[in-house]
Amino acid sequence: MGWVARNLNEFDPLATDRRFDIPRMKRFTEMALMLSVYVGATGDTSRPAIRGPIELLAASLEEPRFFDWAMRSPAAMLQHLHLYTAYRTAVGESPAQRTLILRALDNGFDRFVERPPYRLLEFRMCMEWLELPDRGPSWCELLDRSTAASLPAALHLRVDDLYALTHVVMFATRIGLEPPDRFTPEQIARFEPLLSDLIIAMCQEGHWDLLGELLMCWDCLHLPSTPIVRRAWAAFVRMQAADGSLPPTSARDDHDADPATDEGRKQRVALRYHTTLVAIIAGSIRQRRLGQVPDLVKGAA
Amino acid sequence: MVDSLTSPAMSSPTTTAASLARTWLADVFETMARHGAPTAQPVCEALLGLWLCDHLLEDRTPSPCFREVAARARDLLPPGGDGFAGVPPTLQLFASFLLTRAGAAHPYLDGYARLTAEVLDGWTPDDPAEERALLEKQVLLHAAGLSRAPRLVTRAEVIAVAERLALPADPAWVADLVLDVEAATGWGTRSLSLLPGEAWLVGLLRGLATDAFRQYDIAGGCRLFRALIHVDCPGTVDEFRDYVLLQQRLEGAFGFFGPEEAALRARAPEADTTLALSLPVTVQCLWSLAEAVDPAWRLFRELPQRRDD
Repeated sequence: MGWVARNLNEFDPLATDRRFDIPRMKRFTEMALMLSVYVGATGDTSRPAIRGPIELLAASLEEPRFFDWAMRSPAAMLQHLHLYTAYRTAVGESPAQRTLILRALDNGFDRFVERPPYRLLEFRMCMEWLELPDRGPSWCELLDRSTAASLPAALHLRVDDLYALTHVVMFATRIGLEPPDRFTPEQIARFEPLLSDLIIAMCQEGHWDLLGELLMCWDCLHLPSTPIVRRAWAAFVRMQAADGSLPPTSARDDHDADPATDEGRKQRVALRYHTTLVAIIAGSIRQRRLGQVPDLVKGAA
Repeated sequence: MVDSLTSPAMSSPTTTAASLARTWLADVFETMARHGAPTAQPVCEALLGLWLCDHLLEDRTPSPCFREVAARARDLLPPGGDGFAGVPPTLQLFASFLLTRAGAAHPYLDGYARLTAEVLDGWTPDDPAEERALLEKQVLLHAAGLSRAPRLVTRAEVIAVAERLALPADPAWVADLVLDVEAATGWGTRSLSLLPGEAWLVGLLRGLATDAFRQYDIAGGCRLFRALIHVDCPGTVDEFRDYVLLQQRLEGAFGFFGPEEAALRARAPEADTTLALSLPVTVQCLWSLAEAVDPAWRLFRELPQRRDD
């Protein structure tokens, strides 16, 4: 968390002159999701390291240069929902934002973009989180169309398919903030060996980003702690650098980036921000579930 | 020429696979025989593969076809020990037992089995790692009635190794774990009853097998797959069996090794990619399939024929 706070400028969508800085927008939206889950799980909005992201979010939503684009593009609807969800969770209701979102939805902004099932689940999660009127396909319909319906063998899942799978679990459980009631006990029982196999495989492959998401899914589904999961958490925590960040994979690291230079620091943030946000979210969910937080404390403010 | 290669029993994906594999293995054997003086290892592997096909095709084993191949293999194999340098000892024992069963005993291999049994019977291990490394041979020789019963690894010893797990798992540790599971189950010849709190060993083996197959280490994956079969975990076998079946090429060999073949040719232009890559992996796959589809059949129990002479 401290690492995010110290590098907040790299998450700021207005820090560059370009209006649509897509990598920054993606980072900013994911930071907002982290805020939603962290505050939702812990109730904490006062820790110094969380104040910076909250203030950045609030300022951005009040800044026309940033915010107005959201009302001009259906493609930005999902990001808009995430940003408002985080704002509502961390700061409070904004009648103006709610009115604008409802107006966009009434104009079909939720239908104009072709989205895969897990993105539709994400859309639905945000709609429910914001207590917006029910619309679109039901959870049941969406889950039936998703990869969760036929749970493929871990042997055949490639990286993109794995992210689709983790996202289905995350969005159907509101990233662990809701019980996994949208899955049947039989589905959850089938998820357990699949996730366990993949957790081992991602440790062996050194894919720390996916490992973090899989560990998060384990807690989202309220699966029991096992020696394998405990050891995988230990491996994940060991990957945390002294500054608090985590690398996405063992293969893709930023050995060449000099953190003393501005360019090196930017490169490091671009590479590590996602896994670091995943670690904060996974840790928050685990803390909420088990009453204990994994030892992800390096570089904490 | 070897004939009668196509089995009439084509009732399941596994028997279909075995039938295809038998044709391919027989072709490989023919090619080796045509070129003369083949190295011992691929001949031994082809023999084992053909015998596994016999079992999967529910032929009477050894089938007439296998007997014919065995007789020719005996004449093809080198007569003395120098020709077997570098051939894994367990494979030499497999070949010895197979040839004897088919009525084509090979004098050197037969003697090798007896001598190995004598040496191991008179040997007192002082290094646990060395003891484990030799257990495979001892289990086989004991099943053949040539050697005393070895002391197998206990369940507690396996769990103690598993408990040392740190992820990512070091390859050497994975090798130790698999060997311990194999040694504890006598390569499938006895059951390993895990206590309720130890069931995670199954998840660990399954995860490691998944990782091996995902890395396209088919031989390593098959070994872990069999270890999993031997600790008795219903439900997970089908997934790996289907994966192994998926790896069969239309001509019968297992493994889609295009990239590995290219790399091997670049490294060693004279290398025979069929013998170096496809043949050993095909044998591993057939062995795993044979044990996956028939819980009562285990290579280490079925292959050695008790010799009380």
